[in-house]
Amino acid sequence: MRMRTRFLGAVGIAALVAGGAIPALAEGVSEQDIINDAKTPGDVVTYGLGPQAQRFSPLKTLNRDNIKGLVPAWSFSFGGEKQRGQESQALVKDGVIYVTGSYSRMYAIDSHTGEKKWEYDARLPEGILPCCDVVNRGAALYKDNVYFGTLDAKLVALNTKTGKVVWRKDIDDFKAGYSYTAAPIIVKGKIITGVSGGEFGVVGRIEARDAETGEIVWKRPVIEGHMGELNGKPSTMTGKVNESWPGDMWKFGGGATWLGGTYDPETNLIYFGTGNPGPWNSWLRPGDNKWSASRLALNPDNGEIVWGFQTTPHDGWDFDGVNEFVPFDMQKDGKTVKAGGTADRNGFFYVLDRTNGKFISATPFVEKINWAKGIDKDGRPIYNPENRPGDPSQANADDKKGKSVFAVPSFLGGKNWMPIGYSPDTKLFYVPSNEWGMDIWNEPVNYKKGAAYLGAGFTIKPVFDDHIGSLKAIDPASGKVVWEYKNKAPLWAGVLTTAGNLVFTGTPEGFLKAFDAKTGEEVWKFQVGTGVVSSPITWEQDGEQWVGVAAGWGGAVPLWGGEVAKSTAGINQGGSFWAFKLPKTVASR
Amino acid sequence: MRNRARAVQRRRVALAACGLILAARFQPEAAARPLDQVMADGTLRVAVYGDNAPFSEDEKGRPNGIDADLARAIAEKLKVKLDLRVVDAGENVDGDLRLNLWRGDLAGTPLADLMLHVPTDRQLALRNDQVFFTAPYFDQEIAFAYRKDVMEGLDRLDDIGDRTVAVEGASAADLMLLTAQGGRFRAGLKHYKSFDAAAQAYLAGEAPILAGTRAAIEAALFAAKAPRDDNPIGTVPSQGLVKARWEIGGAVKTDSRDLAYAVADAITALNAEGRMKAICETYGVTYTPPKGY
Repeated sequence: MRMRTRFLGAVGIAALVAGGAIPALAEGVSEQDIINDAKTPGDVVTYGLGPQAQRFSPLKTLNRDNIKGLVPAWSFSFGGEKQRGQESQALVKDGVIYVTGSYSRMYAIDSHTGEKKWEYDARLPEGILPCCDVVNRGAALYKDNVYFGTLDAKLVALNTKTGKVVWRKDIDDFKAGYSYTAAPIIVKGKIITGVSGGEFGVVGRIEARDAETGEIVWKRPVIEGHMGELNGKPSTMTGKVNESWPGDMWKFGGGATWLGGTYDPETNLIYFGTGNPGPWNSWLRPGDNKWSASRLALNPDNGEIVWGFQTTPHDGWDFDGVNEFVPFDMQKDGKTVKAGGTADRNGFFYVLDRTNGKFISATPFVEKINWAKGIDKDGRPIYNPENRPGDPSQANADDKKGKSVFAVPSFLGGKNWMPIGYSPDTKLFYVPSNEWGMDIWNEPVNYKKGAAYLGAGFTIKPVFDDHIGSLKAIDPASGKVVWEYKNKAPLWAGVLTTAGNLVFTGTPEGFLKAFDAKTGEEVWKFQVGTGVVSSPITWEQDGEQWVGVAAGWGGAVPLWGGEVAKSTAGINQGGSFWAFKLPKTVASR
Repeated sequence: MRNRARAVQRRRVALAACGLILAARFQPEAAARPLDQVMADGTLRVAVYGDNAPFSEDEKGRPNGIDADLARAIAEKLKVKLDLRVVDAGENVDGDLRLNLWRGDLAGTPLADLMLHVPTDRQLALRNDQVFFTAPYFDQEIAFAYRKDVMEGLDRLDDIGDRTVAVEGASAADLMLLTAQGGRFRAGLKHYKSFDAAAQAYLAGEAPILAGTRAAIEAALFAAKAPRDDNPIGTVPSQGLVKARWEIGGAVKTDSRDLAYAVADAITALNAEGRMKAICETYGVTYTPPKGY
């Protein structure tokens, strides 16, 4: 088995692709299909339109001149009362769309007609407590299975033809606060997942299972001092005990890996982000607290950490480091650099050498960042000590709040979960960002399970009067913002970019919008009737270019409220998948 | 308010038939109810925390502990049947109140009429105006058990010195120790996932000091038959931002104040009859009534 997947992996890199119209093979989605996904516009078999997740389609049919002719072909309802929170990116293979719905559901839909082929509803236990809405971000395809994770922290493999369960495994115990919302990825026959959950005792980890059986192959905890696992036996320790954590606090260091990862076949590395450290107040855990708020590169064969880069060492603002790391080749000083780009919660856009994690550059992608003055030549933040939330051990007992600071960005981040895109044509990254800050303080009037608890109090505030959302085109070589589109409400949808010089994203106001990839000029929009907080896709079918997007307002923004909620007041619920196409007759005009 | 008694019956049947209903979020029959509706229905729905010994824990399907027994005694006083449910604690009590008393959870689980083990705190009440707090029934405080053969006494944090303290991570006692005196005690803390695990470590001699609430410490020593003379319990003055003492009571939905008053009357009666003391003693816990009782 292992020999065969290695062989296929090697062939996949070298294989030439004949085009998008290869007839379906009986065995469903192969290793090669996954590796070549970015080059085969006839299907979308991975989250991110390719394992590197550039979200770039080579399709050129649709462009700014003919996009006026892009019309809805059909709309599919997610049904019943469970409409809210549709964050999923759909997959398309052999005339079938696989899209996950909120509340841990999966649908197989005829991609031509929009008719439902089958539906799978996970039975959720009573009393589940997902922190941030009922969302799911998408599925993975491999051979005859389609995989997704559920709110009660289970990983499910379904048969693509029937929707019947092939296997179902616990990622962890939902009662301990675990959940699963990310799209899993398939790498060399293994299905790779992280964990979601923020309870005490949770340490983020990345796991690989045999995709056909669901059995664990390796586990990699992301916090130093914890032991990894390979083939059922302890493997190596992550870092060294007490290198960057005091006492035994590494034992419950946080670092939840809740957003999933990317894979680069060229370097054979899996890239995963890690969440913020715990407890939330940084003064209680002096040190860098590795590898919280970091990007890690892992060997997919054994789960060993090849390199790590910490975006926010000693995080004090809840800046999760989970945002996706997108491999790309950068032209700089006449040389091609094997780079990767990532737009961090902390408001800086990082470019790293993806082979070794070496820092190349970091530039702000949101305005008025004040937690740090900048990033130094080694990639370390130059902190603004006055904007770090206060030290509770210095607080006076009569002081009701402790010191409150206003920090930018807010903990929801310069960019949250919504994926960025990269166009090898324009050589620009497209980053859906938000301009907001937060008042944050130690809140002594806090209780957990009926007992006193020192939590964080916070209020999220817009930085500008007229907009929070901001889609930016960023030149990774210079760090410069090339163009910006401002949106009143926060942006919470992913990006799609195409060789037709287009960039797509959705807005909470209910529009799927298209922009000129070079200039940022808005060239098309369509109102889907509810907020768009998902990632659009495009594919080719019967010689026509199609665009698809899930619609359904929800996610964390409506839950957090405050002044930000005013910008989204009045947005209607809804839950559907929309398919658009550019009819041949229009395209040929 | 709408009359929901019959709807509740119907819902029970539906639940039994399909095991689980997910779509019922905000449905009226799932709402928390005032006293007259509880009396008409003949059943009081009470939520208590799981894994919260000695107050409540799910023991082989039967909720056990001080809060569980108190819920039974309250239902008895109100002459209604008890629907006692064990709920998992969320990120904070505000969220638990929202899930269990007024808005419900994402899976559409029916709301409870009464929740126990809710801190009686004015600030907490002010920011949770969807619920109404009953009078408190128990006084909680942070305390320390220590081995008499290792230390003389413990009535200030300085008495801890460089010794190891077993403590549940992210608990009130943990946060007090982590923040006290600029972090002086951090290096000596041994963290455990639960209080029970911390208590077991202390009893096994892994640490000479155990930190937690007085009630939990007393119950752990009682259950292990550890002599109190060898394991005295000490308390320290309040430190910094972390509360060392708080009261717990019950909470109902804000439109069910009459139910809260009836519950308070029942607790007052149980207290007068010596039942509260007796319930606590079952678990080896000293009944510490809130001031004013």
